Order: sequence, then C-alpha cells, then structure tokens
Amino acid sequence: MKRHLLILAIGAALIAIGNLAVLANVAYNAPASPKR
Amino acid sequence: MSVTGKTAAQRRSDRIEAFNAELAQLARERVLTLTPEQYRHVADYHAGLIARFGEDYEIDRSQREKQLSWGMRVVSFLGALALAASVFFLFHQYWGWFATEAQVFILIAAPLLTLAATVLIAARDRSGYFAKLAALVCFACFVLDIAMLGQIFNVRPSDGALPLWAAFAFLLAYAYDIRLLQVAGIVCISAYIGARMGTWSGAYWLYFGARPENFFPAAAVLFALPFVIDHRRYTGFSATYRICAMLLLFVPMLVLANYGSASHLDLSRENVEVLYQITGFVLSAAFIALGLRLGWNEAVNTGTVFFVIFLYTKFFDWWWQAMPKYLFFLVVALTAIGFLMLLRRLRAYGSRDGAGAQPEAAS
Repeated sequence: MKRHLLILAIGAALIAIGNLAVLANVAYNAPASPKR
Repeated sequence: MSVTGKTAAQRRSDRIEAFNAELAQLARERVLTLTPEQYRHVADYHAGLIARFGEDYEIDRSQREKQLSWGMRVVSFLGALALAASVFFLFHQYWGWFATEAQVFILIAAPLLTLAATVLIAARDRSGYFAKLAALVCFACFVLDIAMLGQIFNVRPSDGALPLWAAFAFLLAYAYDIRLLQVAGIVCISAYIGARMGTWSGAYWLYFGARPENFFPAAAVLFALPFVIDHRRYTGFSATYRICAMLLLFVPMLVLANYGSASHLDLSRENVEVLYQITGFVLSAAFIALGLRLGWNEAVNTGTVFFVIFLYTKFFDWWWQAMPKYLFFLVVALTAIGFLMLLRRLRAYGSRDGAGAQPEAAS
C-alpha cells in the first residue's frame, strides 16, 4: 500500500509541476492590465 | 528462496516445467529413475512453489497460458490505444463548448484521475494487464494536458515539457513493469537531450533533428544506464535501453554516411560521408562482437542489421549504375550467403566455447 501511495504522490507531483510551469509561464508573459 | 518479482517467478516456473519434461524423458529412456518417494518429494515442492507464484504474481503455468497471456498483452495494448483515442476525440468533439476555466480544469483533472485509477487498479489486479492499460491512458492524458494547455494560452513551444513527460513515463514504466512506457520515456528524454545539444550549437530547439549528431549523447546515456542501474527485476528493460541506444547511434550515422552536409563537423561533405561509413562499419561489427561476448542477443541482432544496411547502401553507391541489375542482386545474394556462413561459424565457435556467454539475467 505504501508503495502505491508513493507512486501516486510522485505522479501527482510531476503533474502539478508540469501544469504549474505552463500556468506560471502564462501569468509571467500576460500583458499587464490596462491602467485607468 | 526469495523471488523478487514476477519475472523471476516466471523464470523459475519455466525452469521447473523444463526440468519435469526432461526428468520424464530420462525416466522413459531409463537413464535416471527416481524412487516414488523422491519423485513425490520433488513434485510436492514444485507444486508448492508454483501455487505460491500463482497466488503472488499470476504467472503463466503452461504453454497454453503463455500463448493466452501474449494475446492479453496485445489486447491490452490495443485497448489502451483505443481508450486514449476515445478520450482525445471526446475532448475534441465537445471542446469548443467549454469555457476556458472548464477546459483547464478538465485537462488537469484527467491525468490526476487516471493516475489514481491506475494505482487503484494496480493494487487490486495481480495480472497487471489492466494496470498497464490504465497507465498508458494516464500517460496519454498527461501529454495531452501539457500540450493543450500550452495551445490554449498560446505559450511559446518549449522543450521543458520533454523531461517531465519522460520522468512520468519512467515512473509508471518502473512501477508497473511496462516496456512501452519505458520506450515513451526514452523517446522523450532522447528528444530533450537532442534539443539541448541543438540549442547549445546555436539552432532553435525544434530543429535539432536537422543535425543528426545531436542524438549521439542520448545514445551514450542510454547505453550507460543499464550499467549504472540494476534492472534484474524488470523484464527486458536493459535490452530495450541497448536497442534504443544503438538505434540512436546508427540511424544518425546512416543518414550522415549519405548526407554529409548535415554534420556538425568542419569537414567537406565527402569526407564526412566516408568518416561515418567507416565508423558505421567498425561500430556495428564492434557491437556484434560485444553482444557475442556478453550474451546480449539484442546487440548482436541490431548490430548485424546495421552492418548489412551499411554494406548494402555502399554496394548501391558503387555498383547500381555500373552493373546490370541481375549481377547487382547476385552480388547482394552472395554477400548474404557469405554472412550466413560467417554467422554459422561464429555460432559454432560460441558453442565450442562452453555454450558462449551466459545471457544476462536482466534481459
């Protein structure tokens, strides 16, 4: 059971890293909202 | 005796089956006859072992079971492909109806849910076929997730996703002994190393394939990996690494032996082609020799295939225009016969040498 949980944790971490990297890239490159 | 995995259990079970068949043959030919008590003792011990392996790993206990499990492997692979395609087209059909937030949510949730499903199925399914199917779908979902997320937000294409996909593929491949995902991981990591090499040499990363030499470092890494990591518990993983390493070495060499202008080397086109033709011959022969010495069947086979390809492309260069076609093919056929005789000699030499090298237990 411990082994399965470890695989789940590592897999979820990799998925999180991938998605966060893309979303961070989007946020970093997004144009600043226009000032009034 | 401790059995560390399904592979070892299967190997022991095969040995027991072969031992019983040989014992029966020896008894029929009156070479060796065990007393009924000895026979029962051995049979009971083996029956106990096989029953335990069956409970723990669901191994194939007969030739018939083996044939069926091959069929199950093929079916589970086709099932995984179909399921992954079904997920893709489901998204595709209804994709435009969802708001961006919903699209992002679905993309992130799909690999997480399929990963959880894979782990749950693997905990319950001893045969491993359903877990393999779920793992392949999970990997497809993760690749789709990152690729489509990038597309939705129009992110500049980057090679950064490749090592992540490779790590994910290797995680599932090693966790559930899936060679197809190992190959997927190898493809991703080789592409990444190639892309890095391309970038360092001044090209845009997507064009790394334009210089075939970019694949050589990946080939070296893959070849070295089975020496660094012990793969005895995994079915054929070492062999897969070696085959992929040789493909990454010889296919670029074959390209460069014919199109020298794609090389990084500061030499004339003709010189590059000659260099790679000679290197291709020498290295494929070296791999055949190494394979024979260390009992790596895959290295012998791959080396032979590439040696013959290098030879035939050279024949084509030299004689296709100059010779009548019947003579050209006769030369090719005679070379093939010469090769067969050489390989037969090598085989005979190997069997004289104490049945040659013992095949590596890992592969």
